[in-house]
Amino acid sequence: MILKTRGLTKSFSGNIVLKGIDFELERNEVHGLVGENGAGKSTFMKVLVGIYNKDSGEIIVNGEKWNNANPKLSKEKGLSMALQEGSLLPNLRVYENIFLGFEDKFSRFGFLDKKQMEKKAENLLNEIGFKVPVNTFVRDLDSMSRQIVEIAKCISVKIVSNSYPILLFDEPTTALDKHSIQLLIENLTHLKKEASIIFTSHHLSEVLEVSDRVTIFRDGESKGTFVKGELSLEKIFKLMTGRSYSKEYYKRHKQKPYSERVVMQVIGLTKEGAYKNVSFDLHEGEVLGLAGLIGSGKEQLGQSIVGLIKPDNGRITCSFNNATKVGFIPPDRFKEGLIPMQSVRFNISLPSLKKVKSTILPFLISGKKETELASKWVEALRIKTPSLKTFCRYLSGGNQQKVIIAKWLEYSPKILVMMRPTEGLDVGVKEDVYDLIREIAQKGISVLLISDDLPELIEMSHTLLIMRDGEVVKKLDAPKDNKPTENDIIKYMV
Amino acid sequence: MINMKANARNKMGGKNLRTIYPIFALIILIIVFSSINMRFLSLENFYTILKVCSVLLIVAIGQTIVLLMGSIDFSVGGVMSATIIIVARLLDDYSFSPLQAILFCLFIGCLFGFLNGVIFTKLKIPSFLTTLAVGAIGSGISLILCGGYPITVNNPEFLYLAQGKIFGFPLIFLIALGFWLLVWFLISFTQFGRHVYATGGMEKAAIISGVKVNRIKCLAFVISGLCAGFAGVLLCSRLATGWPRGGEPYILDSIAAVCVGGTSLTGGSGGLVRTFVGALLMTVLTNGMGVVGISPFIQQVVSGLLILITVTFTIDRSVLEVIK
Repeated sequence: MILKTRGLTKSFSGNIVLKGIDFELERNEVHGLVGENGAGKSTFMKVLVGIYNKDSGEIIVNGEKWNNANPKLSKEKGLSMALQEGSLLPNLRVYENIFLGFEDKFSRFGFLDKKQMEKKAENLLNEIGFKVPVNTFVRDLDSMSRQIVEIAKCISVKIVSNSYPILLFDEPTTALDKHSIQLLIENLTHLKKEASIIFTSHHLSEVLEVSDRVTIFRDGESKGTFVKGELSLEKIFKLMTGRSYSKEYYKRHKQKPYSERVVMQVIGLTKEGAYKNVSFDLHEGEVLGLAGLIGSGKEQLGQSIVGLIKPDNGRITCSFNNATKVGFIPPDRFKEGLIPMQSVRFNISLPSLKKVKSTILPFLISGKKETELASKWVEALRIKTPSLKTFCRYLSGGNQQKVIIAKWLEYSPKILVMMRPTEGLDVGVKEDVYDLIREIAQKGISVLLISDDLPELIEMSHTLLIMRDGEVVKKLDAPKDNKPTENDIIKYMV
Repeated sequence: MINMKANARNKMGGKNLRTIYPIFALIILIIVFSSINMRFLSLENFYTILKVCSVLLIVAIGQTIVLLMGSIDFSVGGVMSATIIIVARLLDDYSFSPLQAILFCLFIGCLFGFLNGVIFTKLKIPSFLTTLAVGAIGSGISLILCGGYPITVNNPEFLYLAQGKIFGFPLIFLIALGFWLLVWFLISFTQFGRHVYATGGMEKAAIISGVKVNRIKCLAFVISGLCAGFAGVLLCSRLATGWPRGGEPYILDSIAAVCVGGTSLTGGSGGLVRTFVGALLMTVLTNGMGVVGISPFIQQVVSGLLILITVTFTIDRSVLEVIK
């Protein structure tokens, strides 16, 4: 046994996030860690690696008690983590990031041996099966490459430390496409020959496929460790959420046909370096899915429709005139989706302040109306928060996303553009979100769904547009009784 | 079931501690000063503190709005210097009525603020540079208009503002208090106020949520300019003199008052109640040191130390991921 924790406890300002975790990790093991958002997986890893201090309990590495002082000491001890949100510096190059903090290993008479660093960095990247030019600045990389570099940085512990590597991957696959995920999973099997790996993921099938054992967290507690053969998707779901796995995960039966009325027409939209000559109609109550690999232009197209990027050419006409309300659920929920240092009620009411004005003095905001509005949504979407006045920054990712969705639902836009709305959310919350999307569409709101999750796109959309290299290459209908398969889509994407 | 108490204390974040510390410091200072010299607690001294605090409070109000919005305003000193001279000359040389003169100066203040806003939002020059430059312009105008010499003001109606009493209570403080209430309402209960907090809290998210951030930024600077202009007028009334570059000390003092009160330097957090405490704290300190007999030179050192100490406790480091 290379790592063990006993009664590990951690709380933040009175909120207990880890409640006495007992955990064991063997040598040469790939150990999956699953659980809902807010269950404590990331916090657990961060405590192990010294980013957070533990309140109480023990961490035992290789038979010795380990005092998780700070991330650098932990890395010297073999404990290395690839963070979900990344820990890369955008203004430094790839190879500088990979060995950040351990430059002394490459210093000769005070000078850095850059050629060595570059070479070793390339080797690390090859080991996980990817080619990223090591001289590029991280700010010039796309999100998938950044995730790869973050993983490589974690693995660099093999080179910079003499201890047995214990690798902690927090959601290593969120920014990766299907092909890359496969590649990474294959390489995990190689890596475990000389390391132990703990990794968390919301893609339960991935976890089941590659892990030797799986531990399930719920609400800060460990619900048990199971050997691969003992677990099924249903069993994991039940332990994670306390609810039963619903076959109707995507609520396909709730897909109602959309109206004939055209809400928005996009004609010949072009943006140099992003997309070219895009044209389509969006109907009332329609869920239009945009599929495409990274570089297909789907993300920039979504941002253009919302108004964040100005297209060079072409027109967007809305049938309800230019004051058509458009909402946007961005992929980076913390930086673009809400105001983190403001309360839940502040965020939910922000676009809809007109609705909560006081009746007596119409230029003032009524606190009472605002509280009613926010409570309504917190209850409807089951948002887990200690109070309406809690700052959003302290909510878990899934609950933050729910706040964002609540905000737009209240605003009732005619068109809602969603980019990767369920990324990083656990199965329980995802199900809630799919339900919500169905309801939104039924209310007559049009949804532009941009996502990398193909099953999600196929199930949720009425119509699919597939983009490749900036152009729309195919339009497919996806009625509820005749959904296209993933292969039907992929063949147009590549 | 989730307990939906909208007024439940925000346990996560220690927000309430940040409000308490400056009040603590204020109480301690009052106790210390009065125990050294009982004169500190006299009614006369109390009124002096209120009178001195008034001008600082008004500039600090404007500075608060700009800081909340995520920027900073270094032009307040220059704008004050400009209006303190302009009001004196209007009353003296041009026989404006006090009301006309004051309104004109408020307009000048707004103009400076608008200049700040336009340069900041259109030319995209960082606020500290923009406002430093505009402040220098204001200061320069002040010197041009008075030729470097102070201008005495004799208009009794005008002087009544800062030196008059209502039921024994200094009028100038009542004016400042009324102004504070007005702006407090604005920032706490209107859509504009919300938008200021949103812009300072996370600008990109605010834009996506439909906040017209450029407009908010401009308006914040206009308000700050207005406050600085008003403060300059009141200062003139207090001193009975148009004092060249009289606004200079208020640049750092206004920022100090806001930060000592607990409003975050990074924006999006804090408010006018904290600024009130901060302004009072700064005034009590300088006044107290004077009463107790500490040399003005030492006073400077003590002020600086106090700012460091209070900001240490009130700054929200969880928002400032990196201290630059």
